[in-house]
Amino acid sequence: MDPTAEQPETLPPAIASRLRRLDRAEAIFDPRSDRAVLEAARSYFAARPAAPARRSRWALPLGAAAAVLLAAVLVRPLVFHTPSADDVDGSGRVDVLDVLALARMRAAGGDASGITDTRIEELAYRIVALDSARRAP
Amino acid sequence: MGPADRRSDEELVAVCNVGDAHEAARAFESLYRRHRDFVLRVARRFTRDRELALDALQETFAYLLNKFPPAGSGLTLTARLPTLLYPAAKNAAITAARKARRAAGAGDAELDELPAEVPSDAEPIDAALTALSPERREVVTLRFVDDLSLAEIAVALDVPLGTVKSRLHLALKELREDSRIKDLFDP
Repeated sequence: MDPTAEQPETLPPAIASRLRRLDRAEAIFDPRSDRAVLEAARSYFAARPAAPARRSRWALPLGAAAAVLLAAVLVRPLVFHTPSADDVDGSGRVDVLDVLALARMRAAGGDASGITDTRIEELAYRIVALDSARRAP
Repeated sequence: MGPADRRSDEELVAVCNVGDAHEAARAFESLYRRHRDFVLRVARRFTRDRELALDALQETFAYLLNKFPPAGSGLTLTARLPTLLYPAAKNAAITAARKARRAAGAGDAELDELPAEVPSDAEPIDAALTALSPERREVVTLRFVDDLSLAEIAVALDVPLGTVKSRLHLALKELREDSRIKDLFDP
């Protein structure tokens, strides 16, 4: 039989069913994971600049202002080192995984963790700013 | 949690790419809830540990989040989302397991393979399944547990379609010839 030919390969129901039972995920689910992931996502998207608006007579002046702002953002990483406090997961770089790490700590410890929504969102904003600076031509 | 989001993965991904903060977060949540169990299953297969699997779950969705602007350049689905999530979950799980083993002073042996779980009182079906090579068992699991098509498995594993077909064919042949479960194929 040619193994590369199109063919319906089937597994007897008893074996397929056993395989699925061995592989169940429900038993290990933890709602804290939901909270950490979804809080990181909310902070991440909240930090994203709004989509560009329709071109208007203000487009040119706004573009010039944006260029000045971009230049400031580009210069900033050269002047200031990345604050080590933002490297929450200790990976040596500051990225979205640090937002997740912070959200994870909050999800695990609740209010007692001392981590507020504001702190998570501020970190997300800083990461977005850093990413924008890295990606700028 | 409200009713399930009826939008397709492609539509949700498009909103995550360009939607406003609220819309994008909601779309991402729908993607997360839709694919969470799949990612968790995959992570557990490669870690065999609840906490490590949960860590890998979170890392996998952080990886997905990072694909969307502004950090990422946006995501265009050329295949179903599980084909993108599978390698991410597998790698996150293997990395988590490797870190845990190092922390425990153990080596890295065979962590990139699907570990077999063979209880001493294993049923014949379990014994036959775990006797398959990790590559063959991986294809069988993706096909019959995760319901991925052969083409999707090829994308998820980043191997040619012919390799997937061959592995599946040989896995089923091996199971069919296994004396412990032979009668299940020919009742």
